[in-house]
Amino acid sequence: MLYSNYSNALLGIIRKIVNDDLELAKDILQEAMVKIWNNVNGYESSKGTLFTWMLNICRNLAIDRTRSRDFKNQSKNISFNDQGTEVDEMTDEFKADTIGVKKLLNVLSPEQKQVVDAVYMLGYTHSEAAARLKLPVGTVKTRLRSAIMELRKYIKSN
Amino acid sequence: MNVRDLISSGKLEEYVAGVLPEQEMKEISALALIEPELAEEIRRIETAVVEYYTAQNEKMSEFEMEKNVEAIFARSNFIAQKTPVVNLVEKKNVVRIDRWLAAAVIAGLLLTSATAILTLIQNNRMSKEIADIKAKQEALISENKSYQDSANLYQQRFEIVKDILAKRVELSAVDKNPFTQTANTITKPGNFILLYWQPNTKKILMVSANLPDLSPEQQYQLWGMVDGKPVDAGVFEYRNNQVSMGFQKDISNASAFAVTVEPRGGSKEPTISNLCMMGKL
Repeated sequence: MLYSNYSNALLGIIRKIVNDDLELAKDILQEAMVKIWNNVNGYESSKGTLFTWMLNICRNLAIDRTRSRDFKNQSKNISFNDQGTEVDEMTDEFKADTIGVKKLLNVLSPEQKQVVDAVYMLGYTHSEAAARLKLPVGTVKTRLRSAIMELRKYIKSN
Repeated sequence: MNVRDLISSGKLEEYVAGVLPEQEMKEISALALIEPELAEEIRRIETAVVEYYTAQNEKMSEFEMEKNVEAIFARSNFIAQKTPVVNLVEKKNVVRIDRWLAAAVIAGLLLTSATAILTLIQNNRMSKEIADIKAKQEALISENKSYQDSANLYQQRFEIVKDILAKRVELSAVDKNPFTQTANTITKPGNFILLYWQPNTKKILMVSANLPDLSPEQQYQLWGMVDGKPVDAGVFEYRNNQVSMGFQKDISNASAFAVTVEPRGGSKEPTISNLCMMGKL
């Protein structure tokens, strides 16, 4: 069983949204935690899991920051279509601490990674992702589901 | 839509991403509460996503996590200070509880796994409930014990009273003593003591009395007249029409009982000038 940790997962998502700016990502995560801290009475389990709630806060905050002028001045604002290739290029640079982690990143095909990022990282629905990726909705749906299944299979076998 | 259909529909993947319309989010949450299979599926999808994005990232060291917790606390305090004072006063209690819960969430978020966070929150609630139940249970146990004690006491007394061999002894006021009065039909019924004495067990039980209150330095002392000599039967309290009813010391073969007023703690020999009550068998 791999070490499971919300904060590292959320940091991973934020980091991808802000184009691998680790310092900025950590700052956004911290800001998100403050927001979570101040709004914890706003969390209702009837509207989703704790992770989903925190993911939404982190994602919205990170996306807002990429839209802000400061961010645009600091780095080129990446469009979603760049994301797929960008991530694949970055993969080699990551200093994965175990072989297991490196393998987990390679479990998914580039096409699968694209839909996973569209839904979880950018918060698109199936149909929104389909429109952005110029794919049929059915394809997005099955691709996402097969991606999650692959990850689950991999996690289970470890 | 049944659970199997829902699982294969792809909606749960969207649910974990939190991108479904609010109504559908609510429906799936509600259904997950009653369908363990659905809840398990959601948990597995979530784990897959968490693991996938964790792997994207160099893990933060524990030192860094601790620094983060400190920074979060510092930042949120700063925000709290900016909140208008009136709001803080009104919501004081609520805010405090939520802050503790949030502290648990954030500490858990940074230091432990997902399951541990929820367990922490649940434990928090559970341990409160358990503490309440424990307190109630302890109160019940002590209440029960006091009922048992008094039931035992009444049982002991009843054993004496119902004993056919037990002697009923009425003590009345001695003439011209400085404490008690004889009966006066016009004003009041006078002072009295009603005793039961069980010769075979030598136990004495005082079941009723009407006596004047004494000063705190004084106590009534009961004596049994055995072969013409007074034998100490112990001191007793009489206050606010209540009498302490059991006697520690046993008396055998008494021909009479007498009461004197003695300094608190009692005397070895009765103070004859303070002899106030007397009853012969």
